[in-house]
Amino acid sequence: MMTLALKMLIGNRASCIGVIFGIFLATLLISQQSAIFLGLVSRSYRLVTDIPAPNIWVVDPATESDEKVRGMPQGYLDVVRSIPNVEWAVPINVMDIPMTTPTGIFHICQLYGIDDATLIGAPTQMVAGDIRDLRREGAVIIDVYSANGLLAKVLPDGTKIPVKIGDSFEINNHHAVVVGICKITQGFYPQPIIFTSYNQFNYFASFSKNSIQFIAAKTRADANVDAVLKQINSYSVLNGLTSDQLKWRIAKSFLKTGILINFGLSVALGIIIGFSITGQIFYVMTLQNLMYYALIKAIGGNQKLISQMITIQVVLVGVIGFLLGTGATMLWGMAIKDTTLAFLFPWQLLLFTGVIVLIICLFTTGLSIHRVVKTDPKALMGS
Amino acid sequence: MDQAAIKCEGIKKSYGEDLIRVDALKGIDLEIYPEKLTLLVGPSGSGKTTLLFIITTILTPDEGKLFLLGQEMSQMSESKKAEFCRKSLGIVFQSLFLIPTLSVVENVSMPLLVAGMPQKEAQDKAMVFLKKMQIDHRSEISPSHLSKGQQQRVAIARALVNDSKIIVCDEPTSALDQAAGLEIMAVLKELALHSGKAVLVVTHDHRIFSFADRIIHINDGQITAGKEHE
Repeated sequence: MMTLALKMLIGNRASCIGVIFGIFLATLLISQQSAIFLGLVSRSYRLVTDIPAPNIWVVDPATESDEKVRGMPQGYLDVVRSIPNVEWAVPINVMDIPMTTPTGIFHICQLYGIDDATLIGAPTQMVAGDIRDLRREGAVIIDVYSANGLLAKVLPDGTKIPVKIGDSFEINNHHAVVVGICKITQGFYPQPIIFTSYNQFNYFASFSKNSIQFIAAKTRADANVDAVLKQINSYSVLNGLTSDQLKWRIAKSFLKTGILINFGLSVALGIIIGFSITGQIFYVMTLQNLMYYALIKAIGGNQKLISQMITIQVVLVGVIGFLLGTGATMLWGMAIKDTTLAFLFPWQLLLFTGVIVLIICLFTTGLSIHRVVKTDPKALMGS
Repeated sequence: MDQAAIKCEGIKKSYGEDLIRVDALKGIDLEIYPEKLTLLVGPSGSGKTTLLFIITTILTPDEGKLFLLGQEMSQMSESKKAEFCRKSLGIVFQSLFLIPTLSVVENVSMPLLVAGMPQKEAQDKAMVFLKKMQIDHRSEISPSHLSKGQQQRVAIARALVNDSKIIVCDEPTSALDQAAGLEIMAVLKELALHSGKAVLVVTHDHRIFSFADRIIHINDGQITAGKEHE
């Protein structure tokens, strides 16, 4: 009987495709928009994810993110280093700073200053060059996306010549030389991300001399992280956080921009489309088949059987629509890989989309079953 | 005398209340016997379709008793009644209700599938009945591609497929031309004579009266002629 139920569905080709399209569109909107949103959120805390070595971070209590940061005096680094069970602590500075390419193109880049001695905070994936060259005077490492894009030299015929090692440009009117090209998580804004040593950073950004924005630290292997953080936080001018806590703080600051509402509306639109298109078309299809369900009742079919028939129809269109929608989102993700566009599709998002589609399907099933249950074989009378 | 396949005792049925109350059936006493083709005839609004739906248990009478194959229907629970009807009653509706998205054989096998028979077995059995109705060569196409007469045969095959003892048809010839109508009636007559089934046909088509073993006239909710078993 279930095979016949599916044939009843597939036989009504236009409605069947309409319902699948509804689920597909809902899945696509929900998963794709959420994936872009998550991609952007993950970019907002790239400082933490791209620097895995430390397990605690120390910032000024007023600091919200690498965009909204309040510097600390250099002496605070020694305070952190002196706390028991802190194995090491290094400064990391981040600042948006003007730069000019030799062809005169002006950009605001995000400049990272990392510890000269340990180079903790340096990019972990080099495309060209050696991190140790960062200790040379005026040395910088730039991200590959900017090297091939924003900072590339454009010839009159439109050909782009990527930045290579040895090229130079000006950062805040100071001469800088490219010693390496790295691959990193891109930032939220499409701007060049440049790494230099802590001392060079102070040279490039002369106005922030002797100021530290982030202190990245590692506790000893056997240390209680909470206890260490408690000690750090006993200083009212310091705020100790785990990596996850700092990620969440940056994400919260990012979400204050209203981006959540914008993407939330897109996702809500997907859900509304799912409910309206799928629910409506499937309900109309059920109405078209109402007399046949009445007939099945008249020849002895019970509510359970008819409910199963409707359920299996919705399950089929739901699964096909969900797979097509998810597949399209994954294809989109693959297509924009290594571009400046943000995309992150964790399993939790797959689960979330699946749950929403399930709710849409349950609603659709419930609506149709409710109508069929109310249908009496008497409806066949006089027809 | 054989036991009546269908027996109605004082069946009454009305619709609406107070001023808009319509007494569709005003106490029907009736017996329909196996191996007979019985016609229930009457003008529009005489109550014949209401009686037909009470006999098929789709409607419940306000008063009176209905016996099918000797069993009183009001004594049965809804689920038992559904099961009993599935096994004992074959219905051919006026509008046929053949599902256009299914093939002919799938339409005919539906009562068996509803009863829980495996699909292969059900379709094999459906083919037997399609062969009897001489429509087996069109078993794989949609019923919408068949002529009205062929569709009627498919609907009859669907009513028969459960080996039901009682076959009830609502205006089986109303949409057919004379030749096709006579052909269908010949099939129903054959069923009654050689398969031992009680065949009740509701009609107002006088062209088919000659096929009847018995004609029961109903008018204004009452049997006016043909009550007795002839």
